Amino acid sequence: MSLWLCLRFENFFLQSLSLEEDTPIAVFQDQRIISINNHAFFSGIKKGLLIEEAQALNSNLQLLKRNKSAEKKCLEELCLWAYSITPRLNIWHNSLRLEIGGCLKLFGDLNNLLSTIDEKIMNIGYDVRYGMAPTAAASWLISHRERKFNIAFNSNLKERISPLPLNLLGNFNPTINKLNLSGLNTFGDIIKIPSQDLKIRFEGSFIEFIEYTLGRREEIFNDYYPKHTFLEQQWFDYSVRNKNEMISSIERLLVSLNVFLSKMQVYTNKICWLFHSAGGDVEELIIQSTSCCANYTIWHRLTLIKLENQIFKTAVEGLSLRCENFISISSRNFDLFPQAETQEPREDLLDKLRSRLHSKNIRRLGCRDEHVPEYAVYTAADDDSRLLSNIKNEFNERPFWLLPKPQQLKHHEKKLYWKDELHLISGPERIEDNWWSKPISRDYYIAKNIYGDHYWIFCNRRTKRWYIQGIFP
Amino acid sequence: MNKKLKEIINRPDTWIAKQQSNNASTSRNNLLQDKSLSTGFDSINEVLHLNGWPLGASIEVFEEIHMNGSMSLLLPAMKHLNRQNRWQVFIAPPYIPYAPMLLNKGIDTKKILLIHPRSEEELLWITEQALRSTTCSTVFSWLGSKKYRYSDLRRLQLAAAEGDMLSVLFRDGATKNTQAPSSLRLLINNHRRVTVLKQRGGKQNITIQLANEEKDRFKLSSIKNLQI
Repeated sequence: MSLWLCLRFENFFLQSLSLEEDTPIAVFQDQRIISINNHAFFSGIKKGLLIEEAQALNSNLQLLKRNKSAEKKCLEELCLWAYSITPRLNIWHNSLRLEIGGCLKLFGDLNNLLSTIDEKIMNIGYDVRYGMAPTAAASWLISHRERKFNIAFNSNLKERISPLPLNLLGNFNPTINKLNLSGLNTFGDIIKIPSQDLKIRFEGSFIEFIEYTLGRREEIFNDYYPKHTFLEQQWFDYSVRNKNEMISSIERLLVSLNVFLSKMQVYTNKICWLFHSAGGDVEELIIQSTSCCANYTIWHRLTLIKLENQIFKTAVEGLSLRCENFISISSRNFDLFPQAETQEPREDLLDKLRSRLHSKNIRRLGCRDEHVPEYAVYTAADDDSRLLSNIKNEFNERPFWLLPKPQQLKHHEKKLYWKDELHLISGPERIEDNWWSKPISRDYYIAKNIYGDHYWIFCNRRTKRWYIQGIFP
Repeated sequence: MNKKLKEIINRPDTWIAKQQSNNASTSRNNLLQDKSLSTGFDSINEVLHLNGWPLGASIEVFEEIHMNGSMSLLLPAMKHLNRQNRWQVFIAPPYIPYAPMLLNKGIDTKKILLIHPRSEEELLWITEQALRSTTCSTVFSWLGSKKYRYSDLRRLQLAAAEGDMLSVLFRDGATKNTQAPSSLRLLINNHRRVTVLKQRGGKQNITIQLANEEKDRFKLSSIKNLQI
């Protein structure tokens, strides 16, 4: 069963700009007042007054110009929150219309769902009127009649909308004027007229609206779909050079991102900070996390580590946080049997280190199935998934340390030196390989110095030169 | 016993005389057993206060010039801790660990992280972060020959105390006379010869010469007539 809930924001022009109630505030458009708070209302100010008239009534009146982009942003935020309740919703005349019939099971029952919504609306502080009906259009109309939720939404729809004045439909003004002149003032008056007669007399869009309202025709609209980018800005009121002064803004933006991720039900593995200078230059700071996460603490910690090393060429005037890489929560795999030894994911340490060090400074150890020692071991970037460690050869004694490159030994009077004189104690073990390109033929020995340290050395059979390649523990 | 007093007694850095004499110290010993790990060498275990490497405390290993053998002391512990699904971190290692050898010893090299700091400041920062992280079972950090401030080493000791990992700081033998808050300080000044310079709650200035493994170790063919 289809059930629509309309949340109509009554004082939206004002409340999208300010929720202040201690001082009289009014929003104006085309020199006329279009929205006021309670304080201004009690001063005698009304909608429709000219600015000068309103100011004459209260000299302390704070006037704000209508800001459509602020309204749009507020609606975006509200939609994002509403999207966590139901995926079927749309915006209609500064109202949100939510199809809640399909998500009643999710919330247990209608009462639970409504109390969740009510609690959120109370926290936001907006003046909201509610309307519940089987159609989206009717829910909006009913929101003009009922102040609170009316559980009796299933009662006769025609009866509920009959007393409502037709003037509510401001966008059908010419039609409404004609109807008023004919003595038809309420929806009840319209409903009584046979639909065929209405279709002949009045314009198509008005008739369509009535049919949508009464459920005679299904209303087709584009559901809201959340945008794929998070981008928010904070501007400082002054030029900032000290990084500590940025921290509170960073925290605010991260909280905002966290809310966004939670409502979108997604994770991210990359965020990007943009530092805006007065001259218009933008410096970028990218933070990555191996474990995709929506965890505020992780992003906060990684940002502060990376920020510590960031050098700004000029003073910073503003800060933006951008996030475009999202991963759906459902596509993540979780370990059914998490390791008991670690309280945090192993990737956390990598992320922390990567925030401060270049990735080339963080290496993983890999192993190849090769005979030549320098080819058998390699180090790779910490995120290299090609690391191998399952090659297991049965070979002779091998050193713990391998020199990055074999170092030539000093050779003097038939004695070998590497810092100190070396004595061969075991060998040789011949290693030959790479005959198809650059042939390698070596005889390996174990040698020790006067302190007893053991080394892995070899003689290049072609050049007859001696090299040290490894150190035994 | 008073709860607070019991907590103090159970700290691994509290030393109690005649430990075998009462029940309290027996239970403490059991508790401390969890805070230590066998070295894999009986002769070393015997002289160590906790009968093994202290976990959750920093160990300093001083290597005299040319000495590179200290890893042989730590290989058994490294192998044991490799069973855990945690990192084994090498910070500023002098060379590359030879992966085939580690694999042959049963050590999974996928759990090994090699970190190469660009400065001493970074070296201390990385070491501290690794010690504070619960994701590491082993932290080996090569601090080199620099004489670090006591406060820097104290930070590392405190960071190590937060966890339960094996934490070893390798330092140049020339710095062995500097003050440090480590729980255990060892000197290696000859092949397989270990001197306990300091240990909290245990005996000091004891030298252990580990048996030479050459005979067992190098089973290669004897050196033939060789012209160097």
